[in-house]
Amino acid sequence: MGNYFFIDGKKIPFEPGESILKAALRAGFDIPHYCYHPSLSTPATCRMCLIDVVDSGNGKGLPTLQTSCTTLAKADIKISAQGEKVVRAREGVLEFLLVNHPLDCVICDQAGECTLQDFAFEYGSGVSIVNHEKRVYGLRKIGSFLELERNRCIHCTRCVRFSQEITGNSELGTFGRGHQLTVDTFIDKPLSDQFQGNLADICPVGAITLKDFRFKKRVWKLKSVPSICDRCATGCSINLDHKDGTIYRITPRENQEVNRWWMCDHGRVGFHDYYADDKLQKFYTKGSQKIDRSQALTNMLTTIKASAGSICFINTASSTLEEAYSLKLFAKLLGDKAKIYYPKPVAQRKDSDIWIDNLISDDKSPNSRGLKLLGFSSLEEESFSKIIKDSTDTIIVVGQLNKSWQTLLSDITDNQRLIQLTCLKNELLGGMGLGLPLIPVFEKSGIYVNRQGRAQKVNRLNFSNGTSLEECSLWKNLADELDPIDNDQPKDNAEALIKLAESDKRWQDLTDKKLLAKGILID
Amino acid sequence: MIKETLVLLKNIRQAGYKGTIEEYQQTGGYSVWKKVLKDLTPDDVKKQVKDSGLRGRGGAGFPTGFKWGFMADVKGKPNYLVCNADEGEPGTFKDRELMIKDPHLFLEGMLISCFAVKCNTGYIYVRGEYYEAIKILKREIAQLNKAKFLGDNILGSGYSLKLVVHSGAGAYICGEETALLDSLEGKRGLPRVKPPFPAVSGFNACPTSVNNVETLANVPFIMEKGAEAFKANGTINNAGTRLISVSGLVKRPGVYEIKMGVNLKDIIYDFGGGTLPNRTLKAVIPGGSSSPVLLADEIDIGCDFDCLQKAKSMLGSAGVVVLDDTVDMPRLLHRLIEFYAHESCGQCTPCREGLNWIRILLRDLLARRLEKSWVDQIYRIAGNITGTTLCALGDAGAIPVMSFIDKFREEFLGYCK
Amino acid sequence: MGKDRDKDKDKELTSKNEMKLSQEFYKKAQELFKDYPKRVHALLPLLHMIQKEQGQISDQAMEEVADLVDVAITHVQGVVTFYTMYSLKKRAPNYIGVCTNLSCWLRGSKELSQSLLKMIDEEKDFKGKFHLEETECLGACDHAPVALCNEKYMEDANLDDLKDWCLAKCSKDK
Ligand SMILES: Cc1cc2nc3c(=O)[nH]c(=O)nc-3n(C[C@H](O)[C@H](O)[C@H](O)COP(=O)(O)O)c2cc1C
Ligand code: SF4
Ligand code: SF4
Ligand code: FES
Ligand code: FES
Repeated sequence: MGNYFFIDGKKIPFEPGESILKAALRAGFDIPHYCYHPSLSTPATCRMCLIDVVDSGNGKGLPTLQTSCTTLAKADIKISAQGEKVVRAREGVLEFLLVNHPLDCVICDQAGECTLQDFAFEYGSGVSIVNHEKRVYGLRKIGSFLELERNRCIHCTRCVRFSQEITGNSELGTFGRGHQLTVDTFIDKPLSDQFQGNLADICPVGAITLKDFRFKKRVWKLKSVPSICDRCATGCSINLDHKDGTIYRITPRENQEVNRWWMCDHGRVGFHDYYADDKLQKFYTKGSQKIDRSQALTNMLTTIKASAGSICFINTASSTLEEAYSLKLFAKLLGDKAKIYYPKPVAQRKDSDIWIDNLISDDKSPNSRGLKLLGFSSLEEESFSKIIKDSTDTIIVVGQLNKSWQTLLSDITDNQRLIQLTCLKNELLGGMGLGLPLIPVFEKSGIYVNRQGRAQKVNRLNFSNGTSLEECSLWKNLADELDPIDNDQPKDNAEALIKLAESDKRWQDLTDKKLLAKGILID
Repeated sequence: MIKETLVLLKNIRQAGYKGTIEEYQQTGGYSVWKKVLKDLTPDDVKKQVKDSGLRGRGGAGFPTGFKWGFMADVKGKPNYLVCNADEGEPGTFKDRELMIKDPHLFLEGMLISCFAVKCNTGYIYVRGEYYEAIKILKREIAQLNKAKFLGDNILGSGYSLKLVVHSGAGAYICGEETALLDSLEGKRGLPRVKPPFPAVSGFNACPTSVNNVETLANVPFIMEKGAEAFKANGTINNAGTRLISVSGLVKRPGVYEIKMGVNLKDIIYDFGGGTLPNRTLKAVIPGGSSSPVLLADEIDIGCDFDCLQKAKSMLGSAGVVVLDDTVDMPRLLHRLIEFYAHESCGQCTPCREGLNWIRILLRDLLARRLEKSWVDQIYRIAGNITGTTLCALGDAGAIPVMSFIDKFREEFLGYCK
Repeated sequence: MGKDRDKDKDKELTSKNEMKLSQEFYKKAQELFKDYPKRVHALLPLLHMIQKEQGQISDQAMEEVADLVDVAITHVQGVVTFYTMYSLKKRAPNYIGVCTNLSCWLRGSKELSQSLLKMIDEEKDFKGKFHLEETECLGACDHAPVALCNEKYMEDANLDDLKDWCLAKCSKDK
């Protein structure tokens, strides 16, 4: 005998101490709910999740309906979630929620992923008899990131509890009482934390929405690809919501091991850095002269060939594991004169008591740990400066250096050569050397190893701007030119991964797609 | 002609009684407290109160002895007793009467009860508008400290107790015991999810018993005269006397003390003096504004928890409000719903949205803007509130709506287009 | 007393008040803290003191008291807007609350409160001196209609008595 109870005859397993709602949702049995959120305390106030306990284990039912979010699951109890009493109560709750709702779904960004819409459709009576004026709240500003439209609010208080229990700043509160209850900040005080976007995610309706996504796209037209955020070494699980070659928004994807339900605002809107007006698709010579792609590649090859002295690769750890491995092989081909480094990651500041404050890594590279595992040497800023001054022949930067490192590059003399590969905006390069565009992370498929040592899968959207370079194929092309017969250079990430797995047993799990989708602790 | 049974009002009914500590002691007051401290253990007191069958006078009628029995002894967590003096149910004014006119009877009950639940700091949560009661209680508590009936190591017994009077700030919902605890903790008065019950996690997350003023005021009698003597006043299951607040359209409104089970009609006519001249009785609200209304011909029943339940109403806070033939029931209901909509804490969807919706509909009904079918709609809406909310306020607002429409449908229809 | 009885306690109504809380207040607060396990438990009595001292609970006062009891400002604002005895907006110095609930309503309190409103509007001397409210049951229904005049109940209230009370208040102020 295991731990089971029954909803409308269906057997539902549960863990001791778990609520009926939680167990039901895990078992894929949908009970409509608003105020309950697995990350937050349970106020049991929306009253949407009512169920009927028809047998509480002793053959007798309970006289009144219970909220499934607070009623603990017990072995062998029998629940009705479709009985007449429950159906009527749900219709009642939905009718009440709609009494004052503006029903402005046609212009609401939440439409299509609004549980008020969904539940009203599925569980509502389908009839409206409201014939009087609706409640209207005044307009509010809560900062530059979010829009608060209180007339749509269903007072589930998820947002308030998020600010009390997750970020702990209590910048949102509930004010007034009764039908004048409202959520807001203190006198137009803007929200200040870096996790505001999550409020838009947990708001079940369109009361809190992202300004960035406002009126951009109907959500049902968007397609979604699961991936990993590249904005820091945490590697939050995300969904890339895109359409016709454009990313419209990024939302966090639940991953209890890494980011739970959340992500930071920087990661959420960071994609604009890549897909701003000037996508870097252009190739530049020293002095910011535009040149064409093949010319640029020829220049690069010539430069490498011409380097009699040392060649120093700086990989900023935004390469995937496969790309980095591929670079490693390429460097090997060049022999002893080639060295590879990655900038030494910024040490993580001390753990905060507030869980979410530890979410953002101080190391802004998504794959430092991966590069370390591949045996790359890390480099302090001072040593980098020394390398430049030591008249290293050629410096090849793969990825975007941070500001202070970038500044150091201006020490380069006329005898030295610089090649920079980046997917960020080109003005950052400053025309100090040859500049070539790389594809951004959204067009890559590969693996990042995050701060925890967890290998995670980055997935690509099926579009590309066509001209930017893919790292593996770049090294492959160059290798073919340098040594057409005897190079072991993989042509793409997939091949690189196979070669990597062959090179050492420790990488073998990475070829298991299912495992990888969940993330694998490899370090 | 029925007579009062004087237990709680024994002193108050004496002409010239002012309720000072000296007067109270002259009538034997605080002798029980001394006896308890000297001879009894907390468990002795608990047992005697349990044996007496005392049921809470705040509304729900839960047996007090059991409530105390549930209090968990948690290591490192003090126990608390919080007196509910938030009296706010329209038509109820008995607690104020006790606190103002005979504060020491109630205070002695509070002391003994604190002792019973091993509480060293007791709180009296008085509604903010009761300025006078608050002043009196604070003053008399100071007297108690002076007389050494309160404080550290009371009368050498080793037991210490401090009493704090805490003033509410205008929210009926804070009469609900868990909302009251939130309010006492300096928060918005929001009813909490139960379990955990206050007996396990109440004030400051410590074991807490919340008891009504009148409930506690019964304790000295029980401890003095014994459980049996207490039971002798009243009926099986409904032990003791009960304070009835009679108001509305009667000749002699006031607080009257009866043995439980005394006939409601007698209360209205013998104590209340019946209806005003040249009026006839129309209906009676027997247990505070949230109890279902009784028609004039339904009031020949006993006044106790069980009889009123049988008559599909409830004793609640025992606020009897008398309505005569001049009363316009839809208008009265509108006023009642204004009250409940205004006092909803707003957490629960049905209570927050539903009560206000009914308020608006009744407003429109009175303005003769609604068709006849709306009367049924209002009834249906009220029905959807009942049994779906977190605390009993949702029901308290919806039940009068249903009972008024059930019994006076014609009057409602009369307002329709 | 608007048409719709529900007072909007939203923050649109807040008014700036730079007045600092008094030394006296801070002294009393220290005394109050002794009565409770945590400072925040004393929030209601503290707010009563502020309301009495300043006739309102201003933004400034909310911030000060939030610091004092070490809670978020939204906590304090949430509490202030929950209870009817606190007001964000400055109230006239004298309070009159006429109970218009059940038993008082039955005894004509609604009419009483309306006449009172009119009287206070009309009397020049009364201007700005009285804050008038309809209240819920004041727990003295046997003496309906009941009015709460500042901190005292006026039982079996009528317009004449209320007017006398107002006049007395006015002459005292002079
Ligand atoms: C909406 C609501 C209002 C209440 N108001 C009061 C009240 O004003 N006074 C009171 O003693 N009990 C009130 N109660 C009942 C309390 O929740 C609680 O049952 C009571 O304080 C317990 O004390 P007792 O056992 O001595 O009756 C109220 C309950 C509800 C649901
Ligand atoms: S704004 Fe959204 S999350 Fe916040 S209470 Fe309203 S509906 Fe809930
Ligand atoms: S029923 Fe009403 S008063 Fe009670 S908790 Fe729910 S909303 Fe608040
Ligand atoms: S989800 Fe259970 S009451 Fe809201
Ligand atoms: S109804 Fe006015 S005091 Fe009770």
